[in-house]
Amino acid sequence: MAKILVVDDAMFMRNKTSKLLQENGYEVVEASNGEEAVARYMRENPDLVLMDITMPVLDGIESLKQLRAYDPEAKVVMVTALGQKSMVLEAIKAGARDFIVKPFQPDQLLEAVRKQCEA
Amino acid sequence: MKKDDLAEFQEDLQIFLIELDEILADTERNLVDLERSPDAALVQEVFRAMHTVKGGAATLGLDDAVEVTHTMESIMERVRSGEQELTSEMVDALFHVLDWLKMWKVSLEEHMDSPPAEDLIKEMQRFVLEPHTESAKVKTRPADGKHTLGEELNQKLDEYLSQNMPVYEVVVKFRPDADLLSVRCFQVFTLVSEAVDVIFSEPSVDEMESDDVGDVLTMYISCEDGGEMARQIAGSVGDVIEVSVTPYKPTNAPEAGRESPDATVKTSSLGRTVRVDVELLDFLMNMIGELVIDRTRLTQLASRLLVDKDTAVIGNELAALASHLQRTSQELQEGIMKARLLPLKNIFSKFPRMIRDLANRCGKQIDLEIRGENTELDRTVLEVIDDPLIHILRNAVDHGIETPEERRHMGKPERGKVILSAWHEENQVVIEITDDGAGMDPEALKRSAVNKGLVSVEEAGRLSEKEALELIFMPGFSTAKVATQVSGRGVGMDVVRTNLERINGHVEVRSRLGVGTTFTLKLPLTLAIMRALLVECSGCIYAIPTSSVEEAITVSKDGIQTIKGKPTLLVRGRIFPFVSLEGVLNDDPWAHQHGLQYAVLTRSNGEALALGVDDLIGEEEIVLKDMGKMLARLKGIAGATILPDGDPALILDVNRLL
Repeated sequence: MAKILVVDDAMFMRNKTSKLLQENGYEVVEASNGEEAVARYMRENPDLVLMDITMPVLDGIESLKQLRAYDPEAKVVMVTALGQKSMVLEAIKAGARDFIVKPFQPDQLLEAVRKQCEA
Repeated sequence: MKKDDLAEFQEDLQIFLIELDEILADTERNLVDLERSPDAALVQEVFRAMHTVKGGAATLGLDDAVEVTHTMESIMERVRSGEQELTSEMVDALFHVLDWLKMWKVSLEEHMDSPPAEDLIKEMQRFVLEPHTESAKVKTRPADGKHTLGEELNQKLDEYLSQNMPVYEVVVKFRPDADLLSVRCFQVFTLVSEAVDVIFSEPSVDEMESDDVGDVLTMYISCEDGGEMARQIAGSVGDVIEVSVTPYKPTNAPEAGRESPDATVKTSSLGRTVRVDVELLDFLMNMIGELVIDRTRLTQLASRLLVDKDTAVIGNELAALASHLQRTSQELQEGIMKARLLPLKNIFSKFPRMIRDLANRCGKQIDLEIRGENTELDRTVLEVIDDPLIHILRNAVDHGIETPEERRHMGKPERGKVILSAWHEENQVVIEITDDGAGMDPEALKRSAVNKGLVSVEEAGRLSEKEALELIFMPGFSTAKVATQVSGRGVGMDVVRTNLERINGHVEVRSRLGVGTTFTLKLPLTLAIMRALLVECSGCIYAIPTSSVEEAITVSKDGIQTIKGKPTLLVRGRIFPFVSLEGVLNDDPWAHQHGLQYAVLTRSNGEALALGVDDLIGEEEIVLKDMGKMLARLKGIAGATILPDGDPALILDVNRLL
């Protein structure tokens, strides 16, 4: 089963997302900021990263760039809120595979995850 | 206009008109749905439909239609941007636009003057008179984007082609209400660029970054896989609702292909089509029949060669060849049959509007739900069932569904519901029309039938509930007296049943008082091929379509009794007039009935009938062969077929036997 790294500084969002993914048979590891995300990625080698954009220490975009530098094949899906258009655009340029807009429906998230895991 | 220009115009017009048909049907339905419940996607659909028509009309220089569609487009634009709510008054006006477009279409086809549009445009302008600002959120772009291609781009694309690098146009449509549409655009663009060479995109990357995008992204790409990879990548991105990939044609090449994207990921897509005369299909079907006969003769020849040792080797080869020919001809036959099939959508599409108008006229509120509109049927069958369906639906609106007040009293929701559904069942198509209306009262039906002198009081008293419902199919039951403006057109349910039986179809009714009524139509997939019971009578073989056969039984000598001077067969308490098949065909129904071993129980013109035959041969799939006008006039004969052994056999039309 695919392993997914959920990166979000809000514990609530992390828990919610992890629970949903676990319920659908995915293995989940978590990180609460960008720096931690990079470290976890190197250790766990997940199949997919769900990355929040606005985070302390190292934000989602920077973290994404570091991840892609470490592993050019890294699959990252950005999690964003409305009004962050330019940042999402930058993330796509930096190699993010997809994005999900918060608040999202469980199906939307699962659909996006499924697509990436199949690809 | 030069002659070539004229020819080209006619050709373009032809394509435009075919497309217009589809657009009008879809739009009509979308409007009906919209009136019921607002839906941003539908508003967008209607808007785009008008936009497409306007674009087409403008390209062809048909200014009156441009003006009319423009007014409708403006209204939809205002609805879409949320500036205006869609009132039922507006929907009426929008329907008037569709009506006008239909008339306009006919006038184009018949080379007549366009219908006047001034009043209509005035009507429409009432809704858009206040100045309105262009909605900033969604920029409209031509759905296909083709006529915006600059010359420079064309040259660039042609250059690719001249170097033998295939170019494809990829049109990606997004959900118009998707979040961060510009980023979605950019995402698709980026992912596709990683895989293939993107020559040009509309909107451009700059436009995407400055949020200047619509819900359509058009890209010209060059690749070697027919655009398959690009399609898959784009299709996998969120909020994408449609991806179409079309080979780009050089600018100076004929543009006929451009209206038919060669691959479109969309459920409502009509697919790639060519128009073929039905007569040609009939001809091909006939030819295949000949092929089948030749195959049978080959088999026979082979078996003769097999007997002799010297020729057995050739016989074997010939037999193998014949069996291969059989498979080929069978597949050919199925292929041709499929080519004659059309989706029910072709006739279903006009019903939402029809029900809406009828319901308004009767002061009723009715939702029509359509299911299984993609079920396919032979076009001949489709033509025959159109009127019956209209009749049944009109009845449902007029007599079935109650007024909102009545429904409230009954504790039902004020809006009535009519469900029109279709599906395949084995070798037939079933169409069901269900309403949740008043239902039919068996006692009232009996009284009515007695009053009309159709049955006696005693007969009526003996009828079961189910049999009482059957009364509605009796000739003379529906009369002008009960017909109203809506359902009365002088056609009764008896005509509905006869028409359906003529094509080996069948109609039944179920009803519960106060709960609703359901009509079930069972139809053959095609008229060209049918299952038939083969029987023998006086040395001749006849085919009786199984749809008309109730049962085939053995006749014992004392099973036949004479009642009122006529031979009668008693089967489990039911009385069947007994006639010999040969006799009935020779217009002497009561003759030649001695020594008949079997009887086929059937119904002719609504009357039970037992057909006496010498032998039952079995059930076969037969191909109807058109025998021309000579046979068509023969009473009780529907046509002829060729049996597997190559002998011809007549197909009976049981309904016209007596």
